[in-house]
Amino acid sequence: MHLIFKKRVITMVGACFMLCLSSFAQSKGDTVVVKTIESKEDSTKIRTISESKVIATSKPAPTLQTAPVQVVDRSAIERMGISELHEALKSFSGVNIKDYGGIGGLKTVSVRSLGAQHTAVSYDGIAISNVQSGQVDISRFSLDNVDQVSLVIGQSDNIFRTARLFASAGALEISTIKPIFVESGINVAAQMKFASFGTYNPSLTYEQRLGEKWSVSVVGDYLTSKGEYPFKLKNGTEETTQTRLNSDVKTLRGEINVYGNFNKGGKLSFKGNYLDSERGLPGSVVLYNINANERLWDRNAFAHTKYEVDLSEKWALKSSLKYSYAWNRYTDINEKYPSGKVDDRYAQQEYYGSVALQYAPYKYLCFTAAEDVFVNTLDATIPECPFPERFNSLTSIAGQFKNERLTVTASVLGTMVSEKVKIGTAAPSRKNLSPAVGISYKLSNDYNIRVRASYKDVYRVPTFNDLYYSRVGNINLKPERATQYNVGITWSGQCPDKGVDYASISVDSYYNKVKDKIVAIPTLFIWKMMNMGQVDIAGVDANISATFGISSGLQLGISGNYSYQYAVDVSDYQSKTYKHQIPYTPLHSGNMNVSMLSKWVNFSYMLSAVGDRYALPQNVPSNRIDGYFEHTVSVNRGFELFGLRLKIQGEVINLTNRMYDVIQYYPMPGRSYRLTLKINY
Amino acid sequence: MKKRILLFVVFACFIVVSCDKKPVPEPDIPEVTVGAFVLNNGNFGSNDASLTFYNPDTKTPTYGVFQSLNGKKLGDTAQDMFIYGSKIYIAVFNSGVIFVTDRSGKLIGEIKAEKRSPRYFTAYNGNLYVTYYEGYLGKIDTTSLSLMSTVKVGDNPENVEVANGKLYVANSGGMNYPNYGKTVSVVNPSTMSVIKTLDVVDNPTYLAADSKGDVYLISIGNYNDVPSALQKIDTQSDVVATISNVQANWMSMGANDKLYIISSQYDANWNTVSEYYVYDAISESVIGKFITDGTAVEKAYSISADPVSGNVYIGTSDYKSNGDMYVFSAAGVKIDKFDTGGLNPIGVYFVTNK
Repeated sequence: MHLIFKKRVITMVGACFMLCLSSFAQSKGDTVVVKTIESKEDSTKIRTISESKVIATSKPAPTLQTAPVQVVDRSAIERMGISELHEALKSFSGVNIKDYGGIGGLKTVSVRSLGAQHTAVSYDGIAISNVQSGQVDISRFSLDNVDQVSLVIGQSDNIFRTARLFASAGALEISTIKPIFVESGINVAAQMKFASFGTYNPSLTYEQRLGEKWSVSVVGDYLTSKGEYPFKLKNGTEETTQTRLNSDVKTLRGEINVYGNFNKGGKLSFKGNYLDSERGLPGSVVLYNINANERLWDRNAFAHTKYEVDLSEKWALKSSLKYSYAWNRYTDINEKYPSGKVDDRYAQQEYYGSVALQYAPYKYLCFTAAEDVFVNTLDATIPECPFPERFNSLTSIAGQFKNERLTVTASVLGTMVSEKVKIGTAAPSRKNLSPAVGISYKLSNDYNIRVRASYKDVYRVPTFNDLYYSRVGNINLKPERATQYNVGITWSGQCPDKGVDYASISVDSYYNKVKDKIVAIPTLFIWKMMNMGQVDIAGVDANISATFGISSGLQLGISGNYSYQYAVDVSDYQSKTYKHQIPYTPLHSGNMNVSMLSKWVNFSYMLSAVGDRYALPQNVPSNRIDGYFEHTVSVNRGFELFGLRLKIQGEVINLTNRMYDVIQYYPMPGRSYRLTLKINY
Repeated sequence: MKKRILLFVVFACFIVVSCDKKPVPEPDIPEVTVGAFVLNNGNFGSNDASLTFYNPDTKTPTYGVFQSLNGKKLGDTAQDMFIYGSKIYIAVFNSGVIFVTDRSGKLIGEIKAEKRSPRYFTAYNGNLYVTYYEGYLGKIDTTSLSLMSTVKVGDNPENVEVANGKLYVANSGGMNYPNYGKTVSVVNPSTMSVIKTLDVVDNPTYLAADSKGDVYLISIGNYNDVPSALQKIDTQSDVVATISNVQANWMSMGANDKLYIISSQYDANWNTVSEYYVYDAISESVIGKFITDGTAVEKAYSISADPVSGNVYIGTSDYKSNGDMYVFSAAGVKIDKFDTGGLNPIGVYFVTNK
């Protein structure tokens, strides 16, 4: 199984590459032509934009970057016909999504085997934090109001940003749709999604222009799902069909945005976001025992305001303020607890401020400096919670040289963290400096082939759980350090005479090292967090995408990615897990998307291929989880009716009803259906 | 009914005999250990508990015995195993089931009680007794394999031991951090009623009885200001005394009333440093360190003494890879070391020729 799977993935991805390479071998040129059929306008519209404009509109051109950047924008979301954020992330190479299954299942993103805690998640430029666990559940975001999702691995060339976004090995950046007013000053969109397992998700968007300078948008949705889906449970030679129980979800999400544009006076925006959710936690499937009573409530609210202005020809300023409050409650009813149940509540708060300055003295040269100051607190009802409070100061200084052929970016981040607790002893203060450097060079003026190399040193400060969790926490933890090296080659261009509107290829190879990895180590009776782990990671990420204009009303898009990740535990050469692949990391994985856009209907096919993985650190057959192929098809069509723009989309997810686990004993749903109806006014 | 039992016993003997392909043991043949079952607790939530059979003569382990004989897995976190009469009882804690097998590991039946998680066994007068983590002691009919009655004891009971016609249950209160249990319940095995409750050190967990009617108890402590403590219960008077000359985290009563003890401490970096001691339960004194050949055994997880051969098995675990089992002679000399084929070897259980 293992070998056959490997071969199939390699053959498939390889074939795709050869095909595309041979057809683009002769193409060249600098201008990027992006053809999109935008359903928002519901008319086939072809936009031609120059490369520089692409940068100006802050849509990163992935092949120009010194470090790997991958982007899925609104037009790609529409083209692929996807409805969930984690589905969009499947277009990215080098990404592992830990998915505990179902609509309410936790979903976290790890980049190049470094662990989810090394991935920052930002929402409209401001980092979403979880200082308690250090990882962000991306299932909290709706894809419906997302304009663009990008993933930066290493240091972004976009250096005019908050210091916090310099501080991670990978950054998942989510940008929401900004209102565009075509005729009237009011846009209204209503949408209804129906999906398998009793899932309903109505949403409403309202956008209004308020005079010349101001506009406002309000977005809200409500998701309810029974979430009970069948799965096959294999137990030795027996196989039974069971139903996932206690996996219901209710989520209410709301957001308000106010935008002010004062031209030379700058841009001001305000965002208020609220999420209220209640879900059952089905837990891992336990043989001979179907008892599952855990529940989780989340109430998250945050508000941020951003102001950016060009102070002069050479100077620009960005500033932001944020407050966030994240509350959750966990309950479990079980007679094992002396009181018959557990009822824990946690509340995290963050106060955040950031100022960034940009100075561009010459045409090709630019410097930035950013200072972020923020405070995190945690309150909990669990016994012996020390009520920690963390003060953070992050300072980044960066410089960039960029001309037609060469880009060089260098930065350094300084971190200062100090803590206090109400009970017990606080972790000592920490100071750190971490550098990053990247270079991209275009090999010739005639061919748009670039080579790139980058290095970044990052670390993660221990989370509140790592430091203070009852008995397990260890205040003497050092930060977990990761070093990233990347070299790659990219090409982008077009070849209209061969029908190729746009194509790009990138192949990167990397080496990462994680030192002082924070892991829970068993002592005689209790577990203790310690800096014991060391992981060596070597890998290759390859991406390819191309769009072909078959005729004026028909466009074909193909994209694919392949990831090779050799990530092994090198903590202790005497251990039985020495040089074993770390858990939940496939050696081979890849995705492919084929989409066809026409005036009548848009069609998309997606394939996810993930190789065998291990659920526990030791690579023995009993810990192996089989690889899988997941096929998804999506069909959508937009049309006009009584002056309203309508769109209808149907998806069949996991077409072949393949039973698989991402996390062992958290079975994923089999074949399921989703129908979306959208009306724009 | 009696006939059925008799028939069954005859039949069970036949199975054992036919499996071993040995003649029926003559009464004058001395009792010897013919096999040792290693129970791998597994990783919580991984459904990877497993049973390994070790032949002490050939020094060969056979892995996954339960699954290969029965076509299905043992389940999630196997906690205890008890060989009694012709049957073996295996408590699979998180799966909430007691599997009953013959002496080769072949499934005969299962005992399941709604919302009850079995922990540890003992037996007395033909009945099996089991602690349920929900705060109960259950009495099981070993013929019909049914739960006859239960009695409420303290929170999260762990070991149960029999001495002097009474059952002793260690009420750990392990789920009530940081306010652990501080009692041992004394239960009448025939009426299944609590006779009295004894006060002990925090988090009582392990029990072992000697031949003169004393029950030894290890309380784990609260992992904070209350350290672990070895105690002795005089079952005549039910008076509890602390034995302060040896620190103990795990123990097993072996042949000739020798108590084998794992004694662990943390160093400054939270590494566990373990020592192994022999305690003479008759003279009530520490004989000395158990390992005499200089073998270093790190990451101790369990200790099991073979009451017939006198050999002592020390299981080790790093909680992320298969455990190792060290086999020592009664004199503390290493005989063998083998991979247990599963995570967290929680105990070794011995099958004899009788």
